[in-house]
Amino acid sequence: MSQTSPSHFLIRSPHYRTLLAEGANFIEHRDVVLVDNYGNSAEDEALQAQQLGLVDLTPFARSGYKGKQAIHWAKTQGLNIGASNNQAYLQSNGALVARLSDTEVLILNNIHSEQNQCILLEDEYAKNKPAQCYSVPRNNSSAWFMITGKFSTEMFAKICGIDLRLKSFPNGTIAQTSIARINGIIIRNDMNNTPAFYLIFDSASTDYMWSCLKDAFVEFQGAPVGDSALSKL
Amino acid sequence: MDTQINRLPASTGLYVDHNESITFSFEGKNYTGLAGDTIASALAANNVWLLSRSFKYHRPRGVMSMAGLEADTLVQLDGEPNVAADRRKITPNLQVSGQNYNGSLEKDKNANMGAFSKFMPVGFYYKAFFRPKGIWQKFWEPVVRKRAGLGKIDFNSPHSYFDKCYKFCDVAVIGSGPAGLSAALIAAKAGTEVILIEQESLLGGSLNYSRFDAEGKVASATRNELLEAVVAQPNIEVLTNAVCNAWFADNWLPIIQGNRMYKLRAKEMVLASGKMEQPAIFHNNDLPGILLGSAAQRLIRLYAVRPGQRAVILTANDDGYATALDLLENGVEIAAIADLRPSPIATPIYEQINNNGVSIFAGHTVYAAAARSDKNHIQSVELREIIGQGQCKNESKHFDCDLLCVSIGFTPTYQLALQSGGKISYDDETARFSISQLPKSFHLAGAVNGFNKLSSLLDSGNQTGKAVCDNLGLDTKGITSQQTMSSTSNTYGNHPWPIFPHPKGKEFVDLDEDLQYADIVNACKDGYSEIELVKRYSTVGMGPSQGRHSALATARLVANETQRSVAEVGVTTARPPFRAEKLGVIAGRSFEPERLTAIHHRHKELGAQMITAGVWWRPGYYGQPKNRDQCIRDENLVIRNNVGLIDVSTLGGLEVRGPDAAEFLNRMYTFAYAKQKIGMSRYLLMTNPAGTIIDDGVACRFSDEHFYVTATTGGVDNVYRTMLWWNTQWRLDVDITNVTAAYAGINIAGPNSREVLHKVCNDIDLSPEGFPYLAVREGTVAHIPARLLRVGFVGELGYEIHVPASQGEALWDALLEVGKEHNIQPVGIEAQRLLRLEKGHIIVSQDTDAMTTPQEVRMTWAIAKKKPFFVGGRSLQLIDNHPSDRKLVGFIIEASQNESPKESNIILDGNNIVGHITSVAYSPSLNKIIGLAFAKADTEPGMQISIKLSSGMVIQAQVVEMPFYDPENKRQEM
Repeated sequence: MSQTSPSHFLIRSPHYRTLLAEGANFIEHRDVVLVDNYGNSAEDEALQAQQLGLVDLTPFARSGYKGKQAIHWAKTQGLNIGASNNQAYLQSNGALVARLSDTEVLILNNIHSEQNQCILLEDEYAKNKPAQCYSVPRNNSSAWFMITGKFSTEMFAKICGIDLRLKSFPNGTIAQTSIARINGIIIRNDMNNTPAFYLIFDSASTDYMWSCLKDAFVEFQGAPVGDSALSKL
Repeated sequence: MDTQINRLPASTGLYVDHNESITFSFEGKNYTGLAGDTIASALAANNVWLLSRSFKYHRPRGVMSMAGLEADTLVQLDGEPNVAADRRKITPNLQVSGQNYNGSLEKDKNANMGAFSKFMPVGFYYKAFFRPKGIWQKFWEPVVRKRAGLGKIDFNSPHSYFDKCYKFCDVAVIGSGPAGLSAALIAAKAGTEVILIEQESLLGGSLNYSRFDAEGKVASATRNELLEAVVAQPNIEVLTNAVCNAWFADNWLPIIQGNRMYKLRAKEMVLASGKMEQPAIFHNNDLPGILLGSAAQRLIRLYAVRPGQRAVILTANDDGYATALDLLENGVEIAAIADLRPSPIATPIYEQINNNGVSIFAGHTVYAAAARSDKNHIQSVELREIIGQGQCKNESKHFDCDLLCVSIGFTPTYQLALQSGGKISYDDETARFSISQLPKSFHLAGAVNGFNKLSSLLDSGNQTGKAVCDNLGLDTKGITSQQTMSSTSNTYGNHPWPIFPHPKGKEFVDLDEDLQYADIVNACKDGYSEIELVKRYSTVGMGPSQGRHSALATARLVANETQRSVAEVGVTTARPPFRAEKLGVIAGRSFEPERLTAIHHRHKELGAQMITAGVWWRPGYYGQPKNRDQCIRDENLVIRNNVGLIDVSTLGGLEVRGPDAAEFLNRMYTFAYAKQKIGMSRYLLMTNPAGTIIDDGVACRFSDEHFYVTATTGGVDNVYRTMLWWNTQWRLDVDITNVTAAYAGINIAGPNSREVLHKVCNDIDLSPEGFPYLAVREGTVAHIPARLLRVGFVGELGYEIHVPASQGEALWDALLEVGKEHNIQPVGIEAQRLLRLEKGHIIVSQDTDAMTTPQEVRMTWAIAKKKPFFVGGRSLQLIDNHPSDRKLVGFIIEASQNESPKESNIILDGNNIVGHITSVAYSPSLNKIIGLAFAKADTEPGMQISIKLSSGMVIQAQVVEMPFYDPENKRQEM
């Protein structure tokens, strides 16, 4: 790992300037550049994350497949996918497979795993071109945030009409809904004992969503936190 | 600065902090109050009772309920009109003034308006303003407009932050009096999540200010016990200073707290909103100093304010005697008690008053009140013995007083219950209301359901709490409920006719609207016998208090005048909102989504003036606004003569994949795609079932089963939705994915574009033969995986390069870098629009409207007539038989014109409007003004069309063949 600037890379987070303005320190991590911290220690940012934290996971790999045979094909690739839609299924390698419907899955790589589940799938897909199964360019069409902490549900209530209270929205539950008037996917995926929600949405709206979240965060003293804090949760 | 002469000792006043003084001003004069005081209570502590002037007659008005129920307490703040003085807390240096006066509040020049009340009977405006013809506009409207409205809006006041927030719970309890608290506790103990909503700053409701026993102890003891239990109960969330302003289907409740509206969804709803004390109707019943009994109790117990020095009580129930006890205990002399009942019930509270030697006049009423010499406060009352409904003996007893407390009955706070579909009934014998036919998940608790004794209120709450749990399938066995304490008094009492007309009138039924007894009676005499019609004819109940103090009296009067019972007459509909709400609260925080391309920030760094295209931001041109036209011309010439970059990322992108992909496009678009070659693109024109053009783009075929389809920036979402809708019916084996955001697009265009591109693209044959016009290729550009499209929207050699959005900025940087030696320049959307106009290409929705067909824009070449079906095809066949009377033509005007035409300028044929300009601009390449316009269908090149300019001048333009530029299309195909 080394500290670096996103503009030195071909692949850039759509709102890296916003992150820079927040005081982000970037690091190169395998093939991507991501926010390590915002000028604080990992421990301090982990404490912030336990209250209310905003993490940009957009640099991490994700992919999607849709079509009548998409789920069947994904299962043949060894993915564990249950029968319920709007439910995320944790894989043995830490990847999360979100079953969005009978015909669509979203795969979110384990952000700290050595194994890139998405790349493996993409390679296999490109090789075999399975019938009635079509790739969705989630890496580019969708941004990926994570909102953490005990105030996360109250914060979400300001921008989203879904009942995300922890008892109503158990870990692994998915809501495909409107957030701050744009379409998005919310997946609850707690970080150990810290409530956490993935937010997947239109990548062209990244700056907009960031500003909406920051505005909603003010009431709870929420703040962005870097990737290094996540391992401390 | 005045002293607080009416302030009570520190042992009283739940809401106020006796250790913190606050200075504010009213009518330009400074006063001191306590932290927690409302404007009205702080002024009352300073013996200031006059707050405003009435709407019509400019009568002096003050606080009556201390609960924000009447319009008379509305005052003006800096930047905010119509603030309820009995609800808004004072803050340091708050500047307050009265409303609706001419001159000064104390000496209103319009105070004599009441003398003209005989000339302004109810409904006079319906009879007076329309004759003679024209007098409304010339005379009455200016007069009425000048006098209409209360308060002043400050258009320069700063914007406040408002927002909305969703909430969910098992049980919403509205009101935290004894019934609400006990219901919430039962439900919470059973394991439900409860939200307790209280409009005041402290929980407790009537426990905070009412007196339930002669000793005056049971209320505070009960309150303390209940509140301790609520605090200890983790399942209860408390919202104070929060008003549930409406009920909507399935217990969807807007809860307003400050500048926020909570949108609460509750499985079960408990309405414990209590009751509203009602005024009596007699001569001068509106004078400042006349309070409801509960208002006097609120002033004492909540705000530590003595409401007067010498009081008269008008009552018909135990509450009046309880008020009298409170007043006595706080140093107020009781001059007399008039009890409407011929034989008051000897309850302990009554006995205690009686034992104190207070003069009690049973079967008497206050017949009239008299004002001080300045007319701004009550000075005395006239008591008379009642001899029949609304009738009194002529003999009078006069009592000097500065306070009259009225406790003659209540109505339930029924608004939310009725909004939920509940039906309200009135028992004419007991003069009480009841509510029935509520939704199963809507429950009443406490006084709103007719209970009044403390023990009954607590029992009602407990029972309601259990009913809620039953509905939720929860077991309440073993849950201990609040002990109901002994309360030995308080018999619920509504007098059936607390209405006493006076020969001089001024017995107000509706204080908001200055409506008197005679006004309601006369409305009935004018033929309006139904309560809703009386309301609209007389405006009763239409003021800010929405009939809270007038609905019952009006119903009684209408019933009496129409020889029916109150039960038959009913009350007017209770619509949302419950309280006045600010537009800011309704609007909330505005969310205005916006989308940025991957190259957005580079445009800004290059000095682009950004413009919106739907929700996208796009670079209009690069340079200063003052140089706008020159920038656009320069950018136009960059493409025509050299090489430029245009960010086309906002262009819609759709992947159409599957065995039926070609068949699907054949059905969706007018052209034919089944035989389209792999590696080639083809124009797309989409019509709706009516044959109207709704979008266009290109279809790029990358394999037998894979098309990459572009759509317009503003149209792609509709195209995608339309595709999904149709294929739901067709069930073709095809997948449609909207990948607009996944790709960044850059159009590198101009005669030198191939040369620049060649420097960063080595795995594609860019020669004219290897990559001809309309071909598409996949490869890499600057090491970035890319799709390349040779399309000709701007009419020059060019390549649209589509790459993953995350690498769009890197591609832009690379192209600018390698293009330096050719002086490559960024080009904005304005120049692109001009470039395409020079080529005669239409922009769907700019050059088309909601009726435009392909025939009208000369695009029948894009219709494959041999296809068996496409959306809109049948309509276009029919339209062929009924040709349009207009068509889109190109025109030119010499650039030397003093005034240039603008888009939307109309096209005339004689005096008839036959069309309008859809696009027009100065073309630097042609040194002419060129444009597209709808003109008569028989208009041909060489003819003239008449354009009416914005100035009104009519000029002639020559119709020409299109395209205007490079008619042989050699440049784009080079």
